[in-house]
Amino acid sequence: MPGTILENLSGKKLSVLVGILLTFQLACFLVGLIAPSPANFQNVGATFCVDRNPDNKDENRWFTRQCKESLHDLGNTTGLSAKNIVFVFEMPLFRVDFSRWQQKLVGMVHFEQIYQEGRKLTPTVQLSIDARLAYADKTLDGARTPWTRYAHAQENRHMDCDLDAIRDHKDGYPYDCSMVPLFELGNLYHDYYLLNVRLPQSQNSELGRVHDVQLNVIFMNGGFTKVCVSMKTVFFPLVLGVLLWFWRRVFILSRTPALLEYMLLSLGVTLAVLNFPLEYFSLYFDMPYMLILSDVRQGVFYAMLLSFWLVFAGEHMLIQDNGEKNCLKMYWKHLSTIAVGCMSLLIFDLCERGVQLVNPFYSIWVTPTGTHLALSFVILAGLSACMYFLFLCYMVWCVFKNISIKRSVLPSMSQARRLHYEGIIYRFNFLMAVTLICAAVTVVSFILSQVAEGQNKWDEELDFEVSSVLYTGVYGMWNVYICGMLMLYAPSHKQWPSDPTGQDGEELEFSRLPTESVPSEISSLTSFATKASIE
Amino acid sequence: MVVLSLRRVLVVVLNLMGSCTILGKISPLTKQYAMQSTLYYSPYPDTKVCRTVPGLSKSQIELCYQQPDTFVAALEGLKEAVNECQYQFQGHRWNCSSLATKSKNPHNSAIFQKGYKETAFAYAIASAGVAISVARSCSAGTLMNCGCDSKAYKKRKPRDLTGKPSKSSWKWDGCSHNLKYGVRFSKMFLDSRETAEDIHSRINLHNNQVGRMAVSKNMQTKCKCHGMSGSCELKTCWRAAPDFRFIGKTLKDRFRSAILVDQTNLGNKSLRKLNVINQRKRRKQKNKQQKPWRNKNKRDLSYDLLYYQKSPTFCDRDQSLDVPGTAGRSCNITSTGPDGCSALCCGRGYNLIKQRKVEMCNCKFHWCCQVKCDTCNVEKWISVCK
Repeated sequence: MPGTILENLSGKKLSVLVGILLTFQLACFLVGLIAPSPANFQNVGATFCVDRNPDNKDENRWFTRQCKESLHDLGNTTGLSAKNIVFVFEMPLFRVDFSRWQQKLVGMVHFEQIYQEGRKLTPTVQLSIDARLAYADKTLDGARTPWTRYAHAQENRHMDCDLDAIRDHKDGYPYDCSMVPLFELGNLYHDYYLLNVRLPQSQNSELGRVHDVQLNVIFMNGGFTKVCVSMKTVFFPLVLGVLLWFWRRVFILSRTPALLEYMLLSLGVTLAVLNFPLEYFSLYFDMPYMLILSDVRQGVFYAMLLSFWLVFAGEHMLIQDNGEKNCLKMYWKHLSTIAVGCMSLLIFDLCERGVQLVNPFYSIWVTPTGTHLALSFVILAGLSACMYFLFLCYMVWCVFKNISIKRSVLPSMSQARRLHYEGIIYRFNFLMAVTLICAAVTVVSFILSQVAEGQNKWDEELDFEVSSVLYTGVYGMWNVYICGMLMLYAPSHKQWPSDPTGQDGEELEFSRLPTESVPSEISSLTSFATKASIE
Repeated sequence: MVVLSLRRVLVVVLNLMGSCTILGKISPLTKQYAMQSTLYYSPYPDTKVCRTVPGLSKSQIELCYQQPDTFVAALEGLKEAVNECQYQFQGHRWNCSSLATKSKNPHNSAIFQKGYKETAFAYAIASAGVAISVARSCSAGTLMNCGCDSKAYKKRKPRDLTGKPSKSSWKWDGCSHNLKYGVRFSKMFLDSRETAEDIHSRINLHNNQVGRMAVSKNMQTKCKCHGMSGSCELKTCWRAAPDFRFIGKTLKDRFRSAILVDQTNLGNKSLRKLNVINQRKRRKQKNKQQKPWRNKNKRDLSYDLLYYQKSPTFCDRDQSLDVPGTAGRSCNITSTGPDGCSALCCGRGYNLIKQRKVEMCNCKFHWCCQVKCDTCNVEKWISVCK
């Protein structure tokens, strides 16, 4: 029975393959150079409109920036009450319109308050916000369609205020309160959005003197989406091709596919699903569920990748229980950690983003029950992630321990067999190292992009964005990694001579020993383990 | 359509001319023609404001005719700057009252023509005020010219302020920050006054820059995670213009450590090479901060306010400076700072006056529009400078 390609490929061919994969990897980083930063923002200042007819319940009454009566500032509001004042935000600013490439819209409000002497301050301010969102589209002649209702909700929020900053100051100082996350749109189907916010009097007694209100909207950069989607468009057929080739190779074998091959196949399939450029559809259809869909796609991919590592380590344990065929059931303990973690994240996601499909203002974090629920799901996911990593580390440690034990037996073997096994162990180590490097690069680039995003970049004139380079690079890296796995772990069907002819050099190293062909094993490493345990 | 394109061409021409006049390379005749043509063709309806503000320089008037809406925002910023100056200096002998001239333009006031420490502060806060106010109006979407420029903007020439937003750039990487526009407008608007090559102009330019830097270096940064399931896989940080009160406080601190430069350095090209007179203060600062980088860059004055004239005492009334003097100001007996009676009254002593009045107290603010106060009968001794 032939082994995997990894074991049978000559060093030269292997280096060519690795070279090609590295070129792809480099290309991914270079593609990131032309991309702008992943997301951008706009500060939209509020226009304070006066609603002279607040009891009018008409849902299609909209206040725009050009409202009939507006206040210059909130200092002079004699004769008005809270229900008369409407904060109006039109997005985007500057006579441009949103593009569907901009993917999503996240809005946060900032109420700038001024301290007044003698006022009792609370560290947490409860807010009750009446928010209405409308949309409009550009017509062919450049005008805009009338505002149409998108959503209307009465939401509770809270602001955390930093009181230390004003403790030693006098009247008139602003105090720093946190931003209030207000809405999240899963796709930007329309060209213009309009937000009308009211703060009813009775529920907002803790609010101080507001002197300005700002809305910050975050959207993905069109250029970044374009670069990402083009990467996906290139990778999708490539991965599909590699997948088909892999499956054909497995299929033409006379034996049933091994567990690792099933795992590789499903990993490839989830990668292909992740690479599927679904974003093209959002350019033509209104798909508010894009966010949840991409979350699920990513989640399934991560779950599959984690399970693959587990099974990969498990299959190279070098301990064989009397030749029993491996199946997923053996790993139920380990895999259940992934399942529990992913399920809790999925439920959390459905609770938050699922409801946002109906009400974009919804947030699970605002009510105490919701916060507890969300926190418990997140903690559960975190716990199972910890469990998983303990399992994984333990398994990898076992593999390395077994390898070193078996290595000590190697000198007593014949030279042919020794070279053969050394080669296998070397390549196994090599792949473990690649996995570790990939994981390390991911973690490091995550930290780097956080740091790069957090620092003050006001004066820097960089021509490229660190975070987008890292993003495309890491995305490409996992593609390259999985393609490499699919290629190197595909079954080889080279016909080997029935007995070793060459006695020295490379030829021997890569030829299989004819004596140990156990049909159920795919790698000769595992067959080596079987043999060793029998001995 | 024809009118529109004509306007566009005119705007471009005018921009060119505006930049030329700043360089001072245009004949008066053409300048006049340019002004008249703007008067007639300006795409903005209301240029009346340009004629109501006295004491503007030629280039400022041109800028006003080009962008009256931004100009109004800049005036607003100057007003806020004066308010802030008064707030920061309320206990000082010079309490900034002389900046609140009847005209809306504080640059006309006598203090602005001098080279005092106070002048340095006033220039800095004015330029910061313009930058913040323009940025705010820009983010409220009320300005015609404040557009959506991306990074590519930096490579274009500064005169191209009225450029239409390029659509492709907005769709590719969004807009630049509105404060960038504010800072740029502040630079165009205020720096264009200082065309002379003398020490006064150069120091004013420097102090203007200090004010703008105080704004752009103190941006508030806030971040939001919006990756998968709300994780920080994707994190976006944004910057907001700092609160003006905070800028006032920062500049006040700079005012305390302002640096007196030697007037004999008129020939020098760079302000950084000007001789620093009050070395004592610098040395003290150096000793305080033993960080090596500080010592290496000890001549880097780009964050310091500069002045070249010793300030008067501001104790007595001075018509030429528009200073009312400190007589009649109330002072704080217990304080040892600038608002203390010994400092504020310049050694003339003070009178204690018993004051009885009814005032609003224990005010409580209710969102949005009510302030509930008690009325209190207050009887207290106040001290007033002789």
